[in-house]
Amino acid sequence: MSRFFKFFMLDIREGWRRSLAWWLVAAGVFLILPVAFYLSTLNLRAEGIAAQFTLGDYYFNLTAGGLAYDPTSSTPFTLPISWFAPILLLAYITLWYPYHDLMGSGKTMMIASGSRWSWWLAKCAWIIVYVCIYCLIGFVLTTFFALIIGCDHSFIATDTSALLLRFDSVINFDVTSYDIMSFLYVVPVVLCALCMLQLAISLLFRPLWGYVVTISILFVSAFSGNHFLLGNSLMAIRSTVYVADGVSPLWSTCLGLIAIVASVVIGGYFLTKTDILEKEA
Amino acid sequence: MIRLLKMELSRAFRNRLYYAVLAVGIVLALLSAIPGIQTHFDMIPKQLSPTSWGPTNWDSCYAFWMSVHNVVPFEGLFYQLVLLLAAIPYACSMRQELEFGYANQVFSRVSRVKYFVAKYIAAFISGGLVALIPSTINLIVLACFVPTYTPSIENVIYTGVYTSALWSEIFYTNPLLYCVLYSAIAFCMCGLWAVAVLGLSFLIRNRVALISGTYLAAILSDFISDRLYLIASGVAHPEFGLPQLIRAFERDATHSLTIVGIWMLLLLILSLVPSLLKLKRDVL
Repeated sequence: MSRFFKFFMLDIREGWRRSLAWWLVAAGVFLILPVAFYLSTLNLRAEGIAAQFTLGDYYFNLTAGGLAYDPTSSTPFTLPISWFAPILLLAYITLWYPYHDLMGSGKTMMIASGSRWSWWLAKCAWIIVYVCIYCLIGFVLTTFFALIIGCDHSFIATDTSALLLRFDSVINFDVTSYDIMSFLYVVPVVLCALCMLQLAISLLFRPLWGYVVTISILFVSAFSGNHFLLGNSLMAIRSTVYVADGVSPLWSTCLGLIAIVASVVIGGYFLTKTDILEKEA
Repeated sequence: MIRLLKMELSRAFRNRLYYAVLAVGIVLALLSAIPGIQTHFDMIPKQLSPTSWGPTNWDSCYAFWMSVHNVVPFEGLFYQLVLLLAAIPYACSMRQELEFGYANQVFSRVSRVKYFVAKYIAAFISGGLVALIPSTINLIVLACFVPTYTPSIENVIYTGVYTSALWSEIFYTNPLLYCVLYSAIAFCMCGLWAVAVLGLSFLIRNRVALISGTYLAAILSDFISDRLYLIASGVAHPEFGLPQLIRAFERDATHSLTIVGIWMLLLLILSLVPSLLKLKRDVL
């Protein structure tokens, strides 16, 4: 236990030092989202519409995502880049440090400690902490900005934000309020699952392939509404909060937890069997 | 110099990574062609039937070309990944050679300038071909099944090339030239992207950060452009996102040759400045 704790504290310290600049970029990205959302409302010709938006609307803007590919529709499929970019940024922040550590002092410390599992579990815990910090930054900055511009303090999202973001084809106009918070609780879990999967692949193969797999999962998720794809659990517009046949928060949580456990167990098992001395930096 | 260039080109193209990324691109190009061919065969009965209703005279391989068409996700996936694919094969070669000591051997035998020029040319060509070959194969495969009719402006809502789009008049008069022009843009952009990553390898030692980080920067440019469009709320403004500028399809904002030129200049600067700064550095 002490070995795990020592590895974990070292990872927190070293990982933070090496990724500080990218946290600033993340803060910038999280500020652009609500600012753009607010400025777009100013262009509408409705008086005071910006003040009608709630905190829930701003959270919806943060996690909206996009519609799946519909072959019967003539509308072109477009990747929801405002959803794609922040997740890709998180995947990048959590990408290279574990492999870099494995190729550097981590290899020596793993040998000295005599426990690969302690090293591996410390990395998994590091991923969880970073994902939580990332989500917290997004949540805090969005809340901070929304409160500054004087929005309604309600956590319930309205259909106005869905209309503004051009989701009028899927929303149910009989329902005017959406409990976005029940969806938001799922986001850190699923993001952890995605980053753990990336961690396992990057340590077993190469970090670049881990990143390519992450990009592919996100893109295929954007294209397909299959509930088994992790990306669908990260889009508010595809959850049961907004659409009746959407992904339920319970399903997303279970899928995320299964993916986390599988990545930890399988990744740890293969790490213990891999010759780490011959791996190329 | 010629011998050096031949050597660099050989290393750039006789490269498993190059074949791998090219295979990925070609698979996506072929998958993109299938729906266009299917749509063509679905339209034939309508064209032959005197009673069937529906638009049929936009049945042209140019309208289904993957750079123009954006109904099937494989087209979008290719252009989303093409910058990453262009950089993977050869953009890190300079960093690898500096780390492994190969560069020391080369610098002691040939001029550094000649070596850099040869490497840059090889990286430019390999990166450009990663974009050019799949899109050309896509057009050729489509042309094998779908007629090469000149698209009509009357079917603009089906082709998606509106009058405000860049070179739209060429698309509706000489579509092959349109394809050549956009292929040239894709080739140059991806080639310059590969040499920009090569240039940045002088500053960034971490190869993962080099390829993934630069790709992330391109995605963030697309993100900023997308948010600007939301702010502008329909007011016409040029597209800034690099992955969108490589293809003919215009997502929301219009393509501008000025923005394309600025990106090319920026990539050129990123490729040249680090190497000029580090040119005389001791590699031992």
